[in-house]
Amino acid sequence: MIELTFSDAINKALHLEMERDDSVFVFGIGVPDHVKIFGTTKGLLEKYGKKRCFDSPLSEDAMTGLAIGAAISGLRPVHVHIRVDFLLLTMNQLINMASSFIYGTNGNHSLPLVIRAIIGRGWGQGYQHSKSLFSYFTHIPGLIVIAPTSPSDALGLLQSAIRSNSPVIFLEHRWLYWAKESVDNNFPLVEIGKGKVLRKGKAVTVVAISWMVVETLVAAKILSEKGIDIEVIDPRTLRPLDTEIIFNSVKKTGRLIVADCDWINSGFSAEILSLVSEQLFQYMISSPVRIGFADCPCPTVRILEDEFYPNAETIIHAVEKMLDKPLSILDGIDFYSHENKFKGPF
Amino acid sequence: MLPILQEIYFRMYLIRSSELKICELYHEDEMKTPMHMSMGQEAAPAAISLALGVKSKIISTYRSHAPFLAHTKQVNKFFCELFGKDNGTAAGRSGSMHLADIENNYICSTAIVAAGLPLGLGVAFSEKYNLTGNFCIVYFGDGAIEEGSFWETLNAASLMQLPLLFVCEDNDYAVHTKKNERRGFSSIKSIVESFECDYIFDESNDAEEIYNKCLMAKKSLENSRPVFFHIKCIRYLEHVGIKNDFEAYYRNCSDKDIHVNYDALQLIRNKLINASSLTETIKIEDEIDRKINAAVNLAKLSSFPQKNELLTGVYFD
Repeated sequence: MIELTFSDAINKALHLEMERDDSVFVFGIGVPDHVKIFGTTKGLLEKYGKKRCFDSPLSEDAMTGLAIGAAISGLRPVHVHIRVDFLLLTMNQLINMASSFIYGTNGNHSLPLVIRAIIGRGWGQGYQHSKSLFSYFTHIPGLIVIAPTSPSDALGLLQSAIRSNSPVIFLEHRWLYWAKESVDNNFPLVEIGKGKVLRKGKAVTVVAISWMVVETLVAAKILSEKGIDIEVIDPRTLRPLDTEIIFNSVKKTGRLIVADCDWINSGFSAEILSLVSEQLFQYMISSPVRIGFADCPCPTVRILEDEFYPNAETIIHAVEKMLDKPLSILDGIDFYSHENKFKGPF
Repeated sequence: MLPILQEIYFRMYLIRSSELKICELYHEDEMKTPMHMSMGQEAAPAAISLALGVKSKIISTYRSHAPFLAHTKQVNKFFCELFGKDNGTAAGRSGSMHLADIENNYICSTAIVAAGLPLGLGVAFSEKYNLTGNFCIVYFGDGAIEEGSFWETLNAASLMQLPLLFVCEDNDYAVHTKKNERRGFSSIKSIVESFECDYIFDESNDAEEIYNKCLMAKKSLENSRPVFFHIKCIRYLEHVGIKNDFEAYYRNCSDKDIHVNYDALQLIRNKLINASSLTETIKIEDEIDRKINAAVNLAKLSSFPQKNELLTGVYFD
């Protein structure tokens, strides 16, 4: 076993795939610079040269086209964006070109393309540097959408994404980069489309996405001390979604909370609630609940930013409310604070 | 020059005659796909595909018929696709606007103006990455120059020095909007020449001349330098559909005159007759017409895709 941070894991996956396959190349704005995209691209330029690791003009649209054209031609591009918000400049290429390309060849031609984009929050990122946009991408047939939480999943899923023959949007939450985990020395792949039960429990099923997995695990521990055991599921891949793992859990608990790292309205959490409501209505003991961002653009100032984001406390109270328990007073509990890790300005 | 003239004429006649066949049959409503006809614009694709060879990769627009047929000559797959049959290029999924035949190096056609240009970067990048010595050819209309994608692509191709041939088919119109209502610049040439990209211009409507200019372009492309080929042309039919609209308000008055007196196909036909004979020329035409009739018969007799295929091939298995 070897201990890796989430950032190390992304970096390791890129090194492994570039070593294994000459057709893999990594590019994007800032990719080879000294900051190395939170360290995730370190060593690539030095080892593989400018041919396979390069910066790009500030032309997100055309450079996405470059990735698609290269993928059509049999290369395996990994196109990196330091903020997911910049992917809005690429939507024509992603949604009009990439997503329908395979279908338009009657399924006969592959499109092995990975778009890495960083989602996240905090330290005054404000409303143009903090989105998640999960449902923008999961809405579109033809795209695969992955949002890993643990270093081992980031390592295994990024390798699988690069080997995938269909286009993948790979979304990495900025706060996860410092998360640590011991991973197998063989650096195993993780299958796309498979969720994971992170904690077993009978009281409530909580499906958590990206950073909200971290918050949910904190909540689960505190709830457990109060005698409430929630089941925590990380879907890891948002499209195709592992509905089986969610359905099996909800059949057992009869209760569902989706803790999304995104807006609620028309969001990915609505998709999970709809699927469960349509197919498992008879198992439900109580109405399912969504947790997500406040319904406004993300403010910069800390006092409002803290109100904007849900956290472990939100989840604890949602579970208690669902179970008709009195809401705990959580003052004095030391919740995760990025203040200790993240000092900006980047 | 006879074999070249013959080959150019073969491709041009193939395009013209295929489109005349479409015009003849469109009213039957069996080809349920919006057609953006290439008629009048046969010269450039015929000359370019011949000059740059079958290994060149083509990306084109919804006005796809001429570049497609000039490069692939796949008349059977072409008609089967237009009829929506399972032996079409994409088993009916793409229709006229998204024609693609990757095994014959025709990568795709796009229905979003300028969206194919960035893909050209990637295809040309791959040729350079793999040291193949081949090129990518990307077609677009003059309206595409107003899109951000065009500027991004021209900049990146010039920066990265990619073997990409920009083919601008300039008819002065974007659908029905004339250039003076769209352009905040006066010269496409001066825009392109401010980038690290060669510029070649043609307004001859003469495929032989376009062919010779392509040979010049080829030298730059072989040295991995992008080339912008600015070609003036006339679209004979309406923006979409099979009727002519020469009398429409937006047209230049010279359009009809060029159609009648300086038709690109007729020009090459006359050259070919002079270089060989009328009999030889008619022989080529008959052979093509036979192939087109056979393709249409095949398309009519072929099967539609199965209903249960709807959800297949969304992802690559």
